[in-house]
Amino acid sequence: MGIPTAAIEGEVFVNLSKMYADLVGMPHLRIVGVPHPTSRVPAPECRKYLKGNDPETQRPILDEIVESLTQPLTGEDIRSGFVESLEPKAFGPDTEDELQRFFLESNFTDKLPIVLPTEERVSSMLKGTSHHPEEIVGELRSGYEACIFTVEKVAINAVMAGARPEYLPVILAMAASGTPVITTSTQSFAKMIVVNGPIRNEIKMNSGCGALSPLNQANCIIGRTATLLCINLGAGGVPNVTYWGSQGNGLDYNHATFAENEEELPLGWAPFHVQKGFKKEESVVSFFQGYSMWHWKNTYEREKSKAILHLANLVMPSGAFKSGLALLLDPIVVRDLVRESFETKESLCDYICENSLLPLDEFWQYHLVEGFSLPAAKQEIEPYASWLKKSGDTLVNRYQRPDQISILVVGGKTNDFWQGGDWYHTGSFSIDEWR
Amino acid sequence: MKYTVLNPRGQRPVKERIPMAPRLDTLDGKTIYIIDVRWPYTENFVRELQNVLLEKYPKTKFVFRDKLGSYFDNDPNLWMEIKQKGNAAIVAVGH
Repeated sequence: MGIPTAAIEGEVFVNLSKMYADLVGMPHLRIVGVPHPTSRVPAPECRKYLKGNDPETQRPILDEIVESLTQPLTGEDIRSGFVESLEPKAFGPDTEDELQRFFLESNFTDKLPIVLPTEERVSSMLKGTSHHPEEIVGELRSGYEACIFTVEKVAINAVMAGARPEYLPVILAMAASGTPVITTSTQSFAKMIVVNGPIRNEIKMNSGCGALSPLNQANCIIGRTATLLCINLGAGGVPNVTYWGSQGNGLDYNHATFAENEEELPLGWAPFHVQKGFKKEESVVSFFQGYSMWHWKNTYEREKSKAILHLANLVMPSGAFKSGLALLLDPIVVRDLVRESFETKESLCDYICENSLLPLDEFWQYHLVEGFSLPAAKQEIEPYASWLKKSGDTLVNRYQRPDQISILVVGGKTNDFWQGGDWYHTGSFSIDEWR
Repeated sequence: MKYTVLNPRGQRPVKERIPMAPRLDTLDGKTIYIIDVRWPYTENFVRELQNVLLEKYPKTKFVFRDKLGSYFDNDPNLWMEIKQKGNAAIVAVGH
């Protein structure tokens, strides 16, 4: 802004804020820590906080705020110019044990043993693509800075995860998408990775029995590689430094990576990538963001659609903050839904969209509705501006558009179980261009 | 047996340092904007910040403003207004 500024931050995030300030070129930005959290704290308690000390420095908060605005600048504060960090190309030579220890302690791994990325192994991995090793693939931000990386860097991480060369086009497509499967957010988001098209069978991914369990090499390793890409190419994944998910998320272990069971789709039910505008013969990787997965079968409802509606009603409403529902249906469940006359995936999405409702009184209470939809209403953005003027008992749609609901078919037809959760589709990306 | 292995990390971006703005000699007679970045349910805290500052610095004008949109959104018009009409800003609360 060009004027003195004091930034106030919850105590646990002061270091994170300093890192961001460094990233944007002001490493000495003055940041004052206050007790955390300040959300939903009554006014008298806030006053007590403000009249107390910065929890880290143990100095009065008000003094620190005023000093931020008045204390003269140092030479470092007014420094200009460019700062470049150079990375070595290789490490070693050293023993396998020492290199494993070095990679672990340097936060290059997911804390499991890795395959050491020797030049020979990386060279073999690169045979999985026609692209030049030095070609820039893109950039990825998992922590607080986005790194630029080449095809070779992606191959190095693929080797570390134990990938086969034929998986590399899928891994390159994931990397090129710039989608972080590990994010900095305190909300412990997880990602789900779904592969469609011919490559599923070419690399022997599992879309049938046990597809979501750690029982298939391609599913497991593609998911693991996505984590390593975030750690090494996205500079993320270090708790309290570049990762802030309060509890973390068990789904991060391989990001629920599976292939859709296209062979079991009934007539009229399109593969997910075709729904998103790709051709059936194209190979595509899709990402979803969410928090959790619930398994369902044992409800009192006899019709699958009604049971699905119960799950749909548990999900945060899709206000101005992105949210959605993804359903992972076993082919037996799909058969039952077709018997109920859901002849397409879209017809099921329409049914959920029309029938999952909630009163506005409840809608406005959701944390992320307050954070995103209420400001949108105040900016006269519809439908929130109109909703703000309506009575609290007015029913509104939990899902505002059918495309906020994703239907994926997966499973081996051994039981009519299904699962789903609060997942929204973040993007689908071509794999074929990375062959 | 010893091995040489390749570095798995991507290239960090080049950072450009931005000099910080000159500080004030005093708050007396100055206009200080207090910006609520709209983290959910922190208005109590930011309002109380204005109250305690007003009590301690009665010769200073504190202007309370909500940033437009959610905590993710930029508000360049507000930043321009602060630069034109204010002498300093306090931005709260990041989380």
